[in-house]
Amino acid sequence: MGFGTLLDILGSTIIGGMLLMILLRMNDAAVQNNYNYSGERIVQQNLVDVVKLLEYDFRKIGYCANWIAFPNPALGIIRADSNRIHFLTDLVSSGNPFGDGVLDTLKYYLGPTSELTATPNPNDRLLYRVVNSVTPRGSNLGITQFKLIYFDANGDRITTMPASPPLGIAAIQIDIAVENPAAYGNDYGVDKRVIWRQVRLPARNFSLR
Amino acid sequence: MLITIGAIFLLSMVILTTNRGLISTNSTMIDNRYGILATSLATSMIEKATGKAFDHNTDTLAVTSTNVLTNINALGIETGENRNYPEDFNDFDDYNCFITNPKLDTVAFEGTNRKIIFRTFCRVDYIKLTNINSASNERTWHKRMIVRVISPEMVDTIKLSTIYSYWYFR
Repeated sequence: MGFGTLLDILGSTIIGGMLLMILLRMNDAAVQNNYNYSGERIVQQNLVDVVKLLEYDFRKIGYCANWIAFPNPALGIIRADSNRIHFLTDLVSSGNPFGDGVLDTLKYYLGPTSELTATPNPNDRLLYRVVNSVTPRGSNLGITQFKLIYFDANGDRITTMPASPPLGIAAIQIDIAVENPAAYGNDYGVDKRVIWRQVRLPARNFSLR
Repeated sequence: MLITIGAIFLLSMVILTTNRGLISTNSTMIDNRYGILATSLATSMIEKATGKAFDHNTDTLAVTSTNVLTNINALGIETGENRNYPEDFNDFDDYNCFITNPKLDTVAFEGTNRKIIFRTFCRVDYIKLTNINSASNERTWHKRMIVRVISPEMVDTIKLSTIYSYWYFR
């Protein structure tokens, strides 16, 4: 075996080693990206689903199919807090696509992070939607923020509210952030968050002119 | 030797293509995320506008003739209103003041110094129900708002539109 052959074997071994390292690194990157992309897709879908539900429910704050049962929609919001809202509405039931004409109470509120210690994400919480007085149930969609800011008819932010309705709310800003409940490498940085910020007007029919 | 160089070249091309694909997917993903946020801002704008009166002249009174409505070339803010205070707008077409000069929204990421600036343009026109895709050259009972949101962080423009019609309870 000549010196040239030895050099070839040595060169091939080095290049082969490099190739192996590249392949391993690429495989790792592919797994990571696949995980991140599917996670991101789920997070974005979750956010859209939550927003669709909120839009539907918030649009009907103070609504009742039988208007005589609730003639003043300004009294629709019973309690409003930075991450909690209770309001009166008329929910759709089977056979009543526009509501049954009987007022329902709907509550939205964010649970504590301690409820979801089983998930790797330390920030996710349950968003509860409670109809009337049924047992609260929530699903984990990776919500880490559900912040409500209230504005009066002049567009000024409401800082203090009366204890009972009418609370003087003309618009609500809804800030929602959703994260992956189990992100790759436990990376829950701010840049991994998907955010929604929307201003929604409750009882819009009230102000139509 | 040449075969080895050729093989390394091919491998390099494969790696570069793969990396380009990954980066492209990543930027699309981030763009989608900003697109969702921009959609929320555009929807907010529509929500706010549709909460106002149909026209300056229907703010306090009911009208029965389109001749009483705001002139086409006068759509926008009226005297006493300021484009920097949209809360004080009283009617739907006031948002036409953002037709060329956008409303700025800055969204800050909590816990960081990072901010994204969105620019929201609005255009309000009268439309006829027979042709809702084109602005009408005469006053009608229907107004269309087109909202466009752009950001230096986004590749595409988010464009939403809505139609607001005049009606009142008798």
